Formats: sequence, C-alpha cells, structure tokens
Amino acid sequence: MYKEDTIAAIATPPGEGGVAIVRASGPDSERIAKEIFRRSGGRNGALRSHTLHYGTVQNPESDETLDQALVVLMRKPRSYTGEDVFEVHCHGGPLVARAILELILVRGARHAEPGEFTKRAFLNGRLDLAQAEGVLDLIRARTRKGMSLALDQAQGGLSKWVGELREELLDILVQVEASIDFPEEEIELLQRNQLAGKIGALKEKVSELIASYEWGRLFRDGARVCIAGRPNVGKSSLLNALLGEERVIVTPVPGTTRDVVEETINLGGLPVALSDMAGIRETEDPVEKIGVEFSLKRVEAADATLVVLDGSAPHTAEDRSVLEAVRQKRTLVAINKSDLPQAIDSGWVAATAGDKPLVSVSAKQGLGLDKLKQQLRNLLLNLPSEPPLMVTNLRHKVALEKGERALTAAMEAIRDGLAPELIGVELQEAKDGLEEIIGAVTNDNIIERIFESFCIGK
Amino acid sequence: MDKRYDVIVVGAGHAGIEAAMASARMGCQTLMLTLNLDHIGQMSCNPAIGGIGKGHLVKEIDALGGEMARAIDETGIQFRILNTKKGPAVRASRAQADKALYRQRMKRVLENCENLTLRQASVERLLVENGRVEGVETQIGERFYGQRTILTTGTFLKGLIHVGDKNYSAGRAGDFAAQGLSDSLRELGFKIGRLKTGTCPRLDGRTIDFSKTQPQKGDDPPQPFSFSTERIIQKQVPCYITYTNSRTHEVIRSSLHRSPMYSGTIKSRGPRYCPSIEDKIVRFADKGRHQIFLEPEGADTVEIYPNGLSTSLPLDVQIEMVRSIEGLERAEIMRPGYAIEYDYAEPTQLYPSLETKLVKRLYHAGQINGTTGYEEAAAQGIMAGINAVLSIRGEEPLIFSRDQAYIGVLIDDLVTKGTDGEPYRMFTSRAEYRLLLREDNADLRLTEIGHRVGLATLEAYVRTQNKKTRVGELVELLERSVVSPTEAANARLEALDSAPLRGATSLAQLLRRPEVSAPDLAGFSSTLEATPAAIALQAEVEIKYHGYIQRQLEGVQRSKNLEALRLPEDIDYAVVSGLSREAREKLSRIRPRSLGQASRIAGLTPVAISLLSIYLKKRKLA
Repeated sequence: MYKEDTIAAIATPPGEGGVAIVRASGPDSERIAKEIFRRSGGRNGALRSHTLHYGTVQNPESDETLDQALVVLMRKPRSYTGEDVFEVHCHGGPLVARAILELILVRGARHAEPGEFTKRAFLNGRLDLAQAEGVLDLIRARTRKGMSLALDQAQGGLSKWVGELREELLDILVQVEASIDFPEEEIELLQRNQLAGKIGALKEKVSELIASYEWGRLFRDGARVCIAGRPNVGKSSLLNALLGEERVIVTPVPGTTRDVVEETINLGGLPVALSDMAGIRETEDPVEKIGVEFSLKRVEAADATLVVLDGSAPHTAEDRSVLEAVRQKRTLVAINKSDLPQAIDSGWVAATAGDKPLVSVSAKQGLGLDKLKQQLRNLLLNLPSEPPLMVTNLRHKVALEKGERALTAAMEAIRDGLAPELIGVELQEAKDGLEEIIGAVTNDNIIERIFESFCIGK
Repeated sequence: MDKRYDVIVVGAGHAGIEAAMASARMGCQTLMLTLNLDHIGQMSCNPAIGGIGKGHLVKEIDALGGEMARAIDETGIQFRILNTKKGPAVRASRAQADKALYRQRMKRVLENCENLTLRQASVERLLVENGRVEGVETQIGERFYGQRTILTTGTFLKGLIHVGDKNYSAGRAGDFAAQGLSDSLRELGFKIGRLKTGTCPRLDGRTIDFSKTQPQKGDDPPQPFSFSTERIIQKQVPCYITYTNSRTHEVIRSSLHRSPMYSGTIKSRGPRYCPSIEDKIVRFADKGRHQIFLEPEGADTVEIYPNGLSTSLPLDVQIEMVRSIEGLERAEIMRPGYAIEYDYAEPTQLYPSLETKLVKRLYHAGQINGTTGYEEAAAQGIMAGINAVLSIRGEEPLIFSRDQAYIGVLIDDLVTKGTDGEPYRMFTSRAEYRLLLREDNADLRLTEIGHRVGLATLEAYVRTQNKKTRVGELVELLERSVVSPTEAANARLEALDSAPLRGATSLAQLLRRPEVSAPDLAGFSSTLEATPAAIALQAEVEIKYHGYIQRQLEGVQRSKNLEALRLPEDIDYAVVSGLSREAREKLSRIRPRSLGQASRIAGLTPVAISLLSIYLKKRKLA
C-alpha cells in the first residue's frame, strides 16, 4: 500500500536530450511548485491546471536561480498518477535537473522508487494492468523503436488488439453456447468443421503475437552479438568501424584484446550489444586460455555471432575451428580486409559456412558496413515480416500461450467429436488467457450475444 | 384476534409453495396467504416445467427436499430429455403439465402438510418496527404476526395487463392485482422497478387441424424429475409443431402500431429469450418462419397453448394472426394473449440468504426479485423458506457457492449483479462450473445438506448414500474389467461405429471413447447390465469426463482463495483509498460478502479488487 505522500524524480533518462523533466506527484505538489517557481512577468496567484507556464526555478531560501524552465501543474484526477502532479521542464544535462530535484526534495517530497509513479497510476485506476506493465517497459526502453513499442502498449495497443481477438473468441463461444442452451430453437449454427476453421484462424493470430515476443524482447532488452574470429582478422577494427569511432585498442599483436569489450549500436531501432573478445585460438598461455574459454561461453549465450575472417590471407585451422564452434548458432560471416588483394579460398568459405550469410567488408576503409548492418538485423529479426504489434512482456506471452494451447485443444475436441460443453471448457480457458492480459470481463456477455445474434424464444 | 406464526409466506405460486412447505416441514408454524385459494400453483404462462438450466434447478429443489419435481412427475403428460446428443452436464428434463391437475395436487399436498395454515387474504402492508418486520396487514385490516415474513408475490404487485391499447389492473388474467404492498415496500425505502412479460392466446383444440402439423412425441419411457419417483404413470400425449409464414408476419407488421410494446404504452423491458411474436418479427425480419409448439394444457381440457405466439396485439389482430397459420385456419381463441407489467424489488437489495438488507427478517423470493420462470421462483422459494427457519433457529444461513448448485449461481447473480432491467432466466452458460452441476448428480451434491437442515427425508438421504457407494464400486469395476480383442468384442464395437481393439482394454478405457456410452457396454459385463441406469450414468460421467471435471475442480480451488476472503459487514468503502467513485458506490450498495463476490460485480475492475485486498490486509495488521 502506498503512503499518500509526495514523490519526485527526474523523469527523463540521464544525459540525453536538450530538455530534462523533473516530476512530482502527491498532495504537496501544488505547494512545492508555488514555492520554487517564479513566473515571468511577476504574475502571482494560482497556477492554471494543464497549462505550461514559463518562468524561473528559484530556491526560496537563497533566491538563487537554478534555471529557466516551463512548469505544468495537473490537478487530480486528470493526471498521469491520478494525483496532483507537477513537472518542471528544464535544460538538459544531469546537473540542472538534479539540482531542481534536490530542491523539491528539500521542500518535502520523497524520492520516488523505480516505477512508483506508474504504481500510483495503477492503484488509482488510471491504467489497467497491461498498460501499467507497458509503462514500466517504457521506462526501461533503450532506443526509439523500443520506445514506440512500449508507448503503443502503454496507450492500450496490446489491450486493444487482444480485445479484438477476445471479440472473435466470443463470437465462436456464442455458437457453442447457443447450441447448448437453445437446442429447440431453429437457429442456424456453424457446422463443426466451420467452427474448427474459425478457431484455427484465431489460433494463428494468437501464435503470431506469441512469435512477436521474440521481436519485442530484442527491441526492449536489445540483442547480443559476439564477434568471433581468430586473432588479428580485424575484429576490433570492425567493431570500431561499426561504432563509428575508435574505442578498442587495435594492435597488430595477436591476443591483445583480452577483456570483453561491449558496445551498443543501433540497427534501425534495434539495440545491439556487440562484444569483441579474446580471439578463439589454441593457446598454452594460461591467461589467454581463460579468455578463450570465456569467449566460447559468450558465444553460447549470444543471440547471434558475427564471425570475422581475413580475406587477405589463406584460411587457417583456427578459422575452421571458429566456424565449427558456431555451427549451431545464428551466424553472419564477415570477410574482412576487402581493400587488400584477396587470398582466401572462397570455395572453402562457402562450403564451410554452409547456409550462413556472407558479407565482404573492409573495416579499415569502411566498405560494406551498411550491408553488414542490414544482414545482421535480418538475421536477428528472423521473421518474414514485422508483426503489427509486439508482445514485449513475458507475463503476456505466457497468457497468450495458455490461450494458444486451449484453442489447439478445442480444435482437437472438435476433431474427436467431443460434446460441445467440453469444447466450451477449452474456449473458456482460451478466453481466460486473453483476459489475463486485458482484465476480466463478466460472463454475461455470452448470453447477451446469443440474444443479439439469434432469434430465441418460443 | 391477532395470529402469531413462525413464518408467514405471502403468495402461493411456485416460490410460495416451496417456501411454505420447506418452513413447515422443518418444523415451523407456517402461514401461507394467497389472494385466491383456488389458484395455488397456477401456471400463468406455458404448461411446462423444466428445460435447459431450469430442469437442473428442479432436480436441485428435489434433492433438497422440495416439491416441484414430485408434482410434475405426478401430473406431467409429456416428458422429454433435451440435449441427449450432447454431454450429460447439459442434458435437461422438460415436461408438459396437466395444469389443473398440477394445481390441485399442490393444493392437496399443502392442505395435508403439518404445521401449515392456508388463508385467502390480500396483504396490503408490512408491519415493520425498528427495522424489523413483525407481520402483515390485509386489505380488510386483519393482522398476522410472524417471526419471519417471506414475500413471493410474482407478477401481482401493481400488475397491469395490456391487450392492444386496452389495459386493466390484474395479477394475471382472471386474478386481482395487489395494489398496496409495493407502496408499502417503497415507503420502507426499497428500490422498486417495473418489468414486463407476456403470454400466448389459448386456443380451442377442437378447432385445430392437427393433421396439418407435425406431432412431437415425448420420450418412451418417460424419465421422471424426482430422484424419489420410480416411474411416470400419467397417460402421455404428444405436442404438435406448426410454423408462422409470410402472411402471419404481414398481419403482425401492418398492426405493429396497435401493439402496446411499439406504440410506447409499455416502457418496461421484457425478456429477450421469451420475446413476443411481434418482437421476433421486428428484430429478425429476415427469418421467413417461426416455430409454434401446440401444447395441450391438460388431459381434461381442450385448451391448447401455442408456444411461440406470445403477444399483446389487439384481439382482432390476434385472431387474424392465428388463423394465418397452417392448421389453425379455423382456430378459436378461448383466452386472448396479453402483456403484463408489474413491480419488482431490485434483488441487489438482498443478502445471499434472500433476507432484505433494509428490513430485517423479511425475505423476497421469486418474480418479486426480477426473475422469470416457475423453476427460478421455486428455487428461491425453497432457499428463503430454509433460511427463514435457520435464522429463527439462530443458525448460519444456507448459501450455495457457484460450484455447488445452479441455485447458488442464480442467487449469487441476483444479489451481486441484479437484473439489469430484464427478467432473469437460468441458462447453463451462466454457470462457470457447468460440468460439475449436472442434473444426474443433484442428489449427490445436495441431499445430504437438505437432510442436515431437516428438509430432505431420511429415506432420501439413505438412497443418496447408497447411490454414492454403488457408483464408486461400479467405477472401480469398470477400471478393473478388461476386454480382450476377440472377434465378438470387435464386432460389438463395430456395431457402435467404434474402432476395433488392438490389445486388452479396460471397460473404463472403452467408455472414454466419445461414441461409447455405458449401456453400450452392457454386453461386456453382467454386473453393468444389472446396474440401474442412474448408477451406470453416474459412473460413465465420472470416467468419461474425469479430466475435464478435474480441471473444473482446480478452477474452483483457485477461486476459493478469493471467495474465502470475507469482506466485513462494517467496511466503510469511502475510506478505502484509490477506489473510483463508481466502485465505491457499487460496493456500498451491494456490500459483497467476499472478495470473490465483489469481483463479480459488473464494472468492478481488477484494480478495485486488488485495492480491496490491500485494504483487507492493512486492516488485519492494524
């Protein structure tokens, strides 16, 4: 249970953007806003709700001006949390926002715990569970694409879509229930195979949503890609080229890169953490050996591997063992140093890489990088097309899987000629699954629908 | 001359009969007041008992020790089991009644019931002191005092009959309405609403050409409702089916402006599952014909009930409409069809015991609670009777959960969701644990409870315990008995359109095949062959639906957590933080007993439920 005090926090991610927002919510919001904010033109009086006011943020004790800012007050209940809320939109950069937050805390607010605004919004009935969870994801979202996904969910995108699936399911349930409760009526009901067809079509849509979880997860948590290859094929150079700046020490001495270097790049909205690591090679050096073992583990855990070969040199046994190590992994093979005369046996590469995609690049000259990025993105998002909506939350995925299982069971029940009330049990369970995402709705809808759809009554 | 009783029952319809009988049989001095002693147990509408969901209720009433099932068994003239092609959970009994016989039989049993006094009187007013009902006062000033009072007034409260643009005050055709009682309730602060229902014209069977219709016979042999009835002895008769046609529809359509439903005279809403013929033609205009069941009202009368022709059109239109139908070209109407509007008290004003929240010791049962149907009424009647007596004894009320009985579903729906302005009727789809609530196991579910409260007889209790034992033994036998894949065995299976055996298989295993039923296996086991059908069916259900029943039981278990969280009577919902205004208002009005009941209130969000559970936790800690 939350205490009805006033909480405050910096709402914008640290270090990003030209504007930072400090937000407070709770019964003391308005008082604090008045104390620390001086409107331009010396106007006094109550702040109008839901209006942006321009002025300066000042410490009332010292009269020190912290920043020029826009302040908005949103009186309850028409605010995000359902409580009195005020926001200070100040200049970006961590220092200014932090100073303003500290001032607000001194005036009587408490620093919000992570997700506490959303929790209050949820407890005050401003968000449903799916929306609330979407908002929590929003807070964690890393890139803009991830952000818009989370936003979509926060605005009820997922709820709406699942709600539509539930409607479809109810229409099917109506058929089953009407056949049970009104056997004497001359109502036209779907044949069993038509019913199975409808259930099948619905199941496909649920399955698609489940598949989108993988996308959703990648966009939210980001994908992890290991760069693997024998020493000195240019892994670090390639990483730097992808990052656009020199971050990793590059030396011609094999085995220089011992520690894992992880950097995040943005592949068309998809956050990808690239780790360059100790080269995989046979070695007696105990320190390097640990590094190599560690590398292999990282490869195991990654979503995909980027194997780098040196195109300017003939392949070695080490190249072969690297490719063998990643045989079961989603892998893109980059043949580096395309700016130099090519010495690698392309027939061998094709045979050894199997169906893994190949791309020719020059990290040094920056050639082929766009193609590499595109290929890597396709590899990670292994779906024929972008789903209309992505499930990004594990709880939702589990609920959808429950629905999927129940729909499959319903189709089997129809195929096996089971009684309609047993088919009904499965459909009801599928309905429960969908309602775990959007919240329960009373049972009566079915009966309402039967009356809307059929002429019932002797 | 003031009389004192334990329990006063106002009304002698289907709810009143069960209430009075339960109370008297449980040993309370009971008074039954009715407007007309000749019309006890009258079937105001169609002459039939049961149907899907309703048959389930009748069996439950019987299991508890009620009267309805035995009455219809003694006076039924056509019995049918519906949904025989579907699973046992949704199979339901229905029977045509000989209306006059049914009435007479009920009156005879009531008259011979110990502890029960019958009186003809029109109750005008409740006598209430300090928020407690003390008795009733009649039209002529007579007062009766009782420790508990049960109102089962049906459609009689300010009943108003409509035929075309004519209307008159009546409780049903041929009976006075009760004028004062609903005002008395209003004065006490009850929210009183108005509902509408209707009935068909009755036809002279001698003027019907049945050769142009299709006969519909009952089951042979007829299956009784009551667990105590051995067999049906009334002579069985068929019903007949005919259809409306485009001319019928034309007649109705061109006269719609003369229907009180469409001219705006009647504003209250009628039940959509029991629509008038004019409703059906307007709402489903593309349907070319509607079924009409011609049901005899009894063996000793020529009156026929044309089920499907409920109407409040003017009489001349009714005649033209009837005569446009095949077989009815020369039919004479003996009583016109009509619509009736009546007062009801919103059932969210009741506790699940059916006692009112506003006035202590007052119970409402039947159509006064906005339900429709004889069976729904009787089910509430028996519960009000039982709970009035339990309350006199100082015991906890008997409240069935939704997984225990359709009666539990019915009452929980009424007191939690209310009627939403439409008469409430039972359907199996209202029960989330439908597979558990079957007609065939109503006795196994409820008889022990009925016996414990002192209503179901010892005989019924013993019979039920025996059934339980025998079913258990049979299930075990079927699991144990193995059939070898012999030619003879496979021939038998082939006759059932079932796949041949590959190896030794238990009878239980065979029974799990959808196409195989217990009687089909009689040839494989002499014990099974000698087992009474009810026992065999029970064993079949337990084996066939084991997995599904198990799943529903798990569902029950999960929801029990919420049901077990009791919401104290004295909660002030205004101080539960975070609740929306709507949620506060609903919770304060309905005052649910448990978090489970709260979660079923329409419009209450999961957020409100979690807030309530948080509040409960906090309160417990404080």
